[in-house]
Amino acid sequence: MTEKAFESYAWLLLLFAGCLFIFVGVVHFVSGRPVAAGLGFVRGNLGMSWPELLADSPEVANAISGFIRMMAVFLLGFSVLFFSMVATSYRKGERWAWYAAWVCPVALLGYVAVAALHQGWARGEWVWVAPGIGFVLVLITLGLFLPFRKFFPKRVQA
Amino acid sequence: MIANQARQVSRLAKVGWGILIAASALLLLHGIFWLFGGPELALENIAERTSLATSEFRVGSPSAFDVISLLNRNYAILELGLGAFAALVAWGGYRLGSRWAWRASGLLVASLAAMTANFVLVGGLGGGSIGYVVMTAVALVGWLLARDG
Repeated sequence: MTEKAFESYAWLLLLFAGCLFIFVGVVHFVSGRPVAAGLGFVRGNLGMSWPELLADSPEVANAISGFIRMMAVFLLGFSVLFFSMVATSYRKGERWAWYAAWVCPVALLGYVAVAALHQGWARGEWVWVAPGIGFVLVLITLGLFLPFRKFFPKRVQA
Repeated sequence: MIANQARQVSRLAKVGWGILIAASALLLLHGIFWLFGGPELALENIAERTSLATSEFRVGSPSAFDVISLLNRNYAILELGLGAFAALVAWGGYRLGSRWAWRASGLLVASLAAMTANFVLVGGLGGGSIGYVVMTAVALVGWLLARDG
């Protein structure tokens, strides 16, 4: 059975999402500070910018920086694993890889849910990161569902 | 197709893959513990990383404490994600003995090693650091054993 083009190349969407995760992990690990939406999050919750926080409460900034690096390490481990699985088993159409790829959107939704439940839907961290996460979730959803028939082909009647 | 790619996995390699699955499951459990452990764990981390008196910090800087508690939970989510994903990859390696699964599982060991180095450099070998050292060592042994699989 010939594959449709979108079935053959949908894995590239997941690969792109994996690249984005790696990029975010590297940037956070190297800088050790909130970046982009994270800066808005710090300002929204602490009422000061990152340089102001560094000057005003260096120990708090140091603690936040430590957490950011710890998270970056695990994000890098996760994203490189995801990247290599997508580039090998998922691309070949192995069914277990399709199931395993669901860890990614579930973790993203868990991240948003934890942030929203922790600080409330109105002013939670998720407000700052929602656009980026929404974009990645759309990419991953397309990457998972477009090649669905590649992983679960229709049974042909004899 | 998968059956054609499956290689014979030796008993020793299966033990290695089993250890890697167990290490991933431990990471997963640790993530659940951190997720529901609440602010007390964040306080412990602050104490390890700063010279702040944590009880004063909680009262004196509630918004900063809140941010760190949230980061603590975000960290737990990442730990859960990595643990679940690494367990699935190791399960794939156990069943099929695929080469890429072994290489990819090295990333779990590398992530654990990096995290352990971070904890040891910040807080020495005391407290939670020793748990990470043991987990990294066990995962490394499992990874090396799984090499032939």
